[in-house]
Amino acid sequence: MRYLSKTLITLSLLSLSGFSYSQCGAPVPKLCDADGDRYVDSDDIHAITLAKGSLATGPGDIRDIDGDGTITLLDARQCVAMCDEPRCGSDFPGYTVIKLAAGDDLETRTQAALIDAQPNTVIELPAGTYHFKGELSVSVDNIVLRGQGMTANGGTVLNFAGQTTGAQGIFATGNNFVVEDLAVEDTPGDGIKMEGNNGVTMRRVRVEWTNGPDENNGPYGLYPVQTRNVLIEDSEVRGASDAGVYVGQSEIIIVRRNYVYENVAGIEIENSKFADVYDNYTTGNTGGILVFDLPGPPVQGGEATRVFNNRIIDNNEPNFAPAGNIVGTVPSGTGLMVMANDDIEVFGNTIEGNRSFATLIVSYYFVNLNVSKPTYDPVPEKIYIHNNTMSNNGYDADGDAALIGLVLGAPQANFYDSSGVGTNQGLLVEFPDGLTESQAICIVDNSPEGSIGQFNITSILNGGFPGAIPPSTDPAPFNCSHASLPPIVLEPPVDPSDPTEPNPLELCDVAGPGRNVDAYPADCPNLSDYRLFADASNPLENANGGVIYDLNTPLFTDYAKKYRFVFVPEGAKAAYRATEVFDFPVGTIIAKTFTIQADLRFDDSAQDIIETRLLIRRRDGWTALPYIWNSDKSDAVLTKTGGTQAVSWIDMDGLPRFTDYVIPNTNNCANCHGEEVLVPIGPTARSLNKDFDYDTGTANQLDHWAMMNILSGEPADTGSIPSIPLWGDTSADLQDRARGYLDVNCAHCHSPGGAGDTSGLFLDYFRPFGPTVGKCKPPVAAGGGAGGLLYDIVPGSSAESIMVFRMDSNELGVRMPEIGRSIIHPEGVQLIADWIDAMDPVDCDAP
Amino acid sequence: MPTLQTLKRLSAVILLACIAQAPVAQATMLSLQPGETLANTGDTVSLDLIVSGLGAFSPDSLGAFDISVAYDAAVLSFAGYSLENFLGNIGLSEAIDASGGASGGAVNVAEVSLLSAVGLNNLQPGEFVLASLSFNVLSLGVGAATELSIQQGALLADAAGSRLQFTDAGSATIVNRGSIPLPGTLLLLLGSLLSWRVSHRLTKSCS
Repeated sequence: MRYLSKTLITLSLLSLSGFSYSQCGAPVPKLCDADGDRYVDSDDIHAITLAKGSLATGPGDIRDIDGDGTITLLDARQCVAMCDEPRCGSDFPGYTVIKLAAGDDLETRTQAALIDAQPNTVIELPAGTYHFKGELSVSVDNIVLRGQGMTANGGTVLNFAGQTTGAQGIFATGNNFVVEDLAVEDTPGDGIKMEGNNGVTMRRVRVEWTNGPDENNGPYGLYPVQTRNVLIEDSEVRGASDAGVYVGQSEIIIVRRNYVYENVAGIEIENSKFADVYDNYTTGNTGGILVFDLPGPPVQGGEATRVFNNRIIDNNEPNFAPAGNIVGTVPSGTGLMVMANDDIEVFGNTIEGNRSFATLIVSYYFVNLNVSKPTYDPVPEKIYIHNNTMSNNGYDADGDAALIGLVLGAPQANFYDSSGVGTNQGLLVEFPDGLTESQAICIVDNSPEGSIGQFNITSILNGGFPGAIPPSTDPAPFNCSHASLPPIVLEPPVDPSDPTEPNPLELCDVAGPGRNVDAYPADCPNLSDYRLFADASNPLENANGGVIYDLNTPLFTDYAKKYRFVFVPEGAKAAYRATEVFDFPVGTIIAKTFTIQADLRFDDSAQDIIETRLLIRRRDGWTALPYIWNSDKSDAVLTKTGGTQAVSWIDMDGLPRFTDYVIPNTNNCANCHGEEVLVPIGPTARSLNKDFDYDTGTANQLDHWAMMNILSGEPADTGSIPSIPLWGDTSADLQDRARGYLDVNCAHCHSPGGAGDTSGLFLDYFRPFGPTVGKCKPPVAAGGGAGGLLYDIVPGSSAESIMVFRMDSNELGVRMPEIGRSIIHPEGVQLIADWIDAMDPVDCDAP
Repeated sequence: MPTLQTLKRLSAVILLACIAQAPVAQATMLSLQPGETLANTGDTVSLDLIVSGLGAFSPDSLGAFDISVAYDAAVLSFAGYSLENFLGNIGLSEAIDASGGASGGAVNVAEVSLLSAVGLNNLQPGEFVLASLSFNVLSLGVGAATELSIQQGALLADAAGSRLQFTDAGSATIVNRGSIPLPGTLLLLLGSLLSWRVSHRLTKSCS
């Protein structure tokens, strides 16, 4: 009986690793396998510890591994090294283990396993180095992705240097996700990203850009954002062009025992609450550990972080962050930097050899005076730095940081920027009477006591503010203390969401005339199983009970032509929504078929049918299923892992074009259709409100849907409903066309709750134009994607606008949208550029 | 000008001096701390079982231990123990508590880590608490003392499961040095003395 009631599914060649065989063929018990179940695991270690002190049964006692005749804990510990699974398989009781064998198609099999996995599954990768071309994504709860170690020799290394799809190496959104014992190398974007999870563990993983520091490397190594209950331990990160370990907009965090080196920031806790950062070794970075709170992200109010027992040593790497990134302001040689964060305790650290500062505490005004968000607090308060060992810091301040030494007469190991305190100038009115005792900055009892300087940087840079705290190197104001913060304790894991409903494949075989209306609960293997079209090989017309529709302005997908049909169950109707997607009844199927037209100059040129995507409304929500058409185009086959297909066409200028068309996997579908709750994108009133040429004549689509009895609640007068103009219709208003294009191509991620909402950039059609739509908005986590530019949109200057730069790129980690296209849409880029250039110019740098 | 031979001699002297000054590998040691604890009958005392001389975030690390501590059962009763997390967090299934409990005047504490050698190296400083032991003082007269000691046969294993040699720092002692007056009692006593002295003076002056 195994201690863990898990099922072992071995996809590799069957390996009866629990037994060796004698010459006569009888199985020989395996050393340490005390319970005889063929596996050495924690059950066996438990059994051996229970027998400690007893005599071995003889020379063949498999528990007496050292052969001294007595069962001892020496035997138990030696058997730990013989366990068949890391930690002796003790850490995930009840999980199903899926072991994947080595092979060229490991990427496909891994992604398939991640898609098909039920909650409580360990997916174990083999040792070796594997070159992956696409992002690994997982959305199921309680999944463990595990390798055989993070070292190059003997471990599991996933190298993404040749990546062509996806924005990061590994991307997980499910709760209680664990990644451990593997390495991720050379991703164009982030190494391992988690978003929106409750329960994140990254353990013994290595993320490395093997070329070392380079501004073209991905921004973040280990990157949980908008997460809760985060544990990052015993890991290594090297070469990130922003932060090696970056925890953003999250709560309840432990970052411990990691080795982070040669990144811009070693560890960064940003816009997060309740964090313990300890026993880490940060060296060779531009800055060792940063604790920031910034106005851009949608979640703010960073506070309650403890930084202790870390070794923060020789962080003197020149800053190699791409221009425009906030970490580009970190002086080379910074040990610890706190920006605009509150209630921080720093103790027991060894901080040495950092050329600019041991500690640097600044307000957000340090990087930008232009703070207009009333809910944002740009001033750091209640910072308590005590009992650290500090030596040889601040001896050669980097660049502008050297000015601090010039102002104060000598370089300072510790510096406090009092901007926003003790002044009544302009924006800086938060603390006109200074910080209170309970808000004080305390730097005390360090050994040796390093020099401490302070002044109001914004006052100095702006010619002096009345009431500003004058430059001083007197340590007395910092001689204070605060109560210690409590340790962070992670919350118990949340229960996984209900397992996916059973897949009743028998419904795919229900016979009958017309559409197979019974099949909607099943993921049928072939598109034809649903009988959506009169001719199974022609998904472009003659839908069985479906209504064809078109959108006012379409999503750009490599010039593919799209044929959309909605199938609403007979007798049921979708409910009209003025701004949101219509509410469709259970049993609805939306089918979208993508074709590549041979010659874009002629509407009637031949079409190659590539894929049909189904969105099916089931009792528990929408499901996305990608079907790829077979070579003879007789049917399409369900392919949850997606794929690529080489396609070619003649463009509008008569020139031949070709690309590897990317068919998304089911997890990619969630990137656009919703990370947590899948919903359709297109069927909104504003996108459907136009005339369409039906077989029965031309009619407004909304009127037609009402007439066909598939829509209820729509206004009688469709003229009162807003309508997005076709992006290429130059007779329409330029702003409306541009905002419509952004709405359809970008807002599915860049809207509240979308995958891109961590950026704070929202591009939905009805949002008034302002900073949240990109106007003078600095990026949050663009990395090299900013292209050295400072703002998403600089009114009047498309050349200075990150939005245009990213749309006009096809480089992974830069291009936007991240998925859905493999080539640039120059006409779309031009539209957005024209819109921005037509705006009244604004100086985004002005306060 | 110094000759080559002189330089060689000088180098040899410097080398020997360096060798003499070089840190000697610290021996692994087990100890019970504090070495002396004051207690009265009815008190509960706590002792830490400490290992020192390990590699401090590098080999040697401790992979397992199995230690019994002897005590006088007529004087002390075992009240409980707790294991620290330096071999892994037992609650997270990183280690197994293999302790045998108390019997016959000895308490056994034992643990096996399930972490890898690298994991242990990252986790362990050179010196740390293995376990904390609590005892109730059953009967300890004023001026009396009782000793606790690590029994022979204690076992330390390194990360590979090989036996680690160690030295025993010696026994710990619990001593009853007699009751110390409580502050309230002390005040009463002082007050009594003062009033006695005042009354004595008054008596003298009146006489």
